[in-house]
Amino acid sequence: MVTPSDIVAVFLAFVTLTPAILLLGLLARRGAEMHKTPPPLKNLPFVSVIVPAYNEEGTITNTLLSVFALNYPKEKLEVIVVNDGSTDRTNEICEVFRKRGEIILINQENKGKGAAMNAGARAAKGEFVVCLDADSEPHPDALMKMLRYFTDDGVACVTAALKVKNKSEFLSGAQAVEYVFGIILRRLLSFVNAIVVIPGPFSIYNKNILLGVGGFDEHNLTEDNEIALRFLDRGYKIQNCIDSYVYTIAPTTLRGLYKQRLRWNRGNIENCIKYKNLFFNPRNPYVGFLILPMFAASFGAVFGAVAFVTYSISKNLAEAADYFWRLYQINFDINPFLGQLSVRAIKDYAAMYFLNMTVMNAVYFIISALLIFILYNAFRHSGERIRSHNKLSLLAYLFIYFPMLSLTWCAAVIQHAFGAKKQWYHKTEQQKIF
Amino acid sequence: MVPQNGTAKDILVIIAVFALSIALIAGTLFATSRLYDYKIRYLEGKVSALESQMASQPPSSSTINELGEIQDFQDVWKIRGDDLDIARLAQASIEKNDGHYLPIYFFKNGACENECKDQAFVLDYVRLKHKGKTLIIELDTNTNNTFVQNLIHKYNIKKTPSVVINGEKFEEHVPAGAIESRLDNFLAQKYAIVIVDGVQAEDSKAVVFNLLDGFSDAGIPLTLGVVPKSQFNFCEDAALYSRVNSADNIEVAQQSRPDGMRQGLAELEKCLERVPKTFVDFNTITPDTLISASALNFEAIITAHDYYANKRDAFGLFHVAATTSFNENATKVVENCALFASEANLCVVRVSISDLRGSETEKYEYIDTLASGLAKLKQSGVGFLTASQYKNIKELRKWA
Repeated sequence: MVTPSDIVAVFLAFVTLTPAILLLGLLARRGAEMHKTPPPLKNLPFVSVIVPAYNEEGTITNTLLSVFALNYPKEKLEVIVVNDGSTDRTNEICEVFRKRGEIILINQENKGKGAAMNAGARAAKGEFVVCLDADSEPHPDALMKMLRYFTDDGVACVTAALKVKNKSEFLSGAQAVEYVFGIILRRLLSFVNAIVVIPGPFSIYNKNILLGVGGFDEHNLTEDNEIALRFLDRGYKIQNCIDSYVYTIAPTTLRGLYKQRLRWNRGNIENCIKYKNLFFNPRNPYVGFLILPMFAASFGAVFGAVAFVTYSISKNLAEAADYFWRLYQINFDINPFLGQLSVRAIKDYAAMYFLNMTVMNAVYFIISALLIFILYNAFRHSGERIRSHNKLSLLAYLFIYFPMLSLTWCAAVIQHAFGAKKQWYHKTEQQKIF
Repeated sequence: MVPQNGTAKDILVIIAVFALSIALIAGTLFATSRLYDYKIRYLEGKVSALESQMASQPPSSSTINELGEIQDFQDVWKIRGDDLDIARLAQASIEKNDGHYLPIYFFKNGACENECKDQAFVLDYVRLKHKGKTLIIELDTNTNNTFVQNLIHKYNIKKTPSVVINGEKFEEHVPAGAIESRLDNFLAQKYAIVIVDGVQAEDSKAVVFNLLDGFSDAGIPLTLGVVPKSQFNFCEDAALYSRVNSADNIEVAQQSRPDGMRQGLAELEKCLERVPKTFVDFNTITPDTLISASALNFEAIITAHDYYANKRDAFGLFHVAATTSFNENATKVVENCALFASEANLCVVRVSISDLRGSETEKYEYIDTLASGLAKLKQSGVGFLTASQYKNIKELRKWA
């Protein structure tokens, strides 16, 4: 008999397995090209690094120092900090660098990251502009490696391999694993020009193309997703350099993470609607037929999954309470049950567990297996070591991170449906939360 | 910039990706739907293995455990369609169970999900804690199996969960402690006392000696209930007291009235080498009897009198599980004795000479059947004692 759980499982499997199969296919076919980069540039272009900053007094110094440490000729590099109406000591700190002649400082009233980036791009002298979030630090070789991809005229942007700096903490540790997954995801999708989000921490844009398409949308919650879709809509390419590392700071509290992901998801929903013409558009079939439809469908699947997980959790909690009561009745004497543990008993239990498997269980196992396989490859190709990660965070990522995040998907859909006020996730909020 | 266009190859790849995804999901659906068949086959294999183990006599403790474990798996009752193998195996186990395992029937059904799970957990705990000592059979009251329905009818099961422990029905949750105390009782040594009621000196004739011989051959001790001082004095029957003196497994217990107990004791002391201060009576015991017995320092009183059988506040009073009348079929007497020994750890068999009916041959046949039946019971582990021997192994409460 088909149960509601089976229907949710099939839908969930479809929206998860389809992109997963694409990734596996790409991994199999293009895995050897993962670290293949275009040849070094003969003539290095002038590059402008734009650092939009809003209340970044705690991180901007390190960010700027990391830019100064880039292995790139200083005469071909300018750093533009756009102080987006900070109310803390950001301006004061930047003034010190400006007085030394190390940066160009643009002060403007608070207009948001998109407006700050546009202001920086307009002021930039460089042929290429780098967007660098004020809480991120690129690896010294990142810029040099990424610029090589611009030998193709159609490339509008090159993204880096994003890593979490504060990965030792539990929650940010789980995000660190997610970011490692994102590294291989972006690289594989770059093979079929299907990157739909250009991360803020360190992405290089062809300035002419960027300004040519109108610059960043200044009223968008996720201008990085919007600009990516606009590039794809206009037929440009977005590349990825898997060997260019950029380190950023991830939220360490649930509230911080929730607000960040809520904004991302709301922005993504808006942009999906804005660029609905990309859906089922043969101009970019991977994006049009696979990535965007599956992405949109996954919002629906998430509702089912959340309902199922909520039901499962409440059922499991009730069962746990029952077990506690039962154990209480036998004075918590679990020795007889422990005495049962034998290879044969475990084998029997495992056999019966397998034989009692539901569609949801099977889907969960298949998705988990694929996830673990792709994650293994992600670690292999991203230069990350599993042992350097928080083990609890790794487990949390595998088992509870996605169900937890799916709540923000649901909240985003609900907020969008009811037209809730948009809120940018400001650093000050995160600091308060810290 | 020339807009990028997807090639036919890209479209084919995407179609292949979708096809593979759909095939994988369809395969998963098909596989999970087939798992049920594999599960039934797997359980069938386990049941078959169990069946072959059941050939042993009696079922081993590992077989019993296996039976308990296999019942934990869902759908086990559905093996082989309507032919409930587990019920059949359970039935076979119970038939072969000769007192080694405490039989527990657990009646459940889908309507009592949580209550039944609570009870099942406790039963599982007891089963695992006392491995091989319990035979717990989980029975779904909704099944049409004859064995199950017979048990429901036999124990008048009206609600679930219900638990029947060695014949004792509980219609509420039975805690582990209650089951364990019954298990302790079940596993305790079982005893039986055979009392020949109403032996008088004048009766020391062929039938009595035939009975003494028969039980002597079977190795079963006897307690002879006598009135020592009456119309015929006990010590005037030399043949009888000689026989008592010469046999280790025969003893004499008084059945006198309260005012005759002192004289009876004196009479027995005249001719018996051992005079146990034991009183047996099945009908006429009164408070005066107890007072007299106490005054004479009698150590044990055995009675089946309803009043005293239900009250345990008398000095040295054994609670008699039941008695069996001489008139009953000898085989039935043995069966009852086995049942009482199992349930109450003590069986008292009353053999009444005065109630004996029929020809001499019929009387001898009855004695033979009874003696051989009780001998088998002895072989199965029931300890046969005289009244004073039983008294010695029990700590008796003082009569206030």
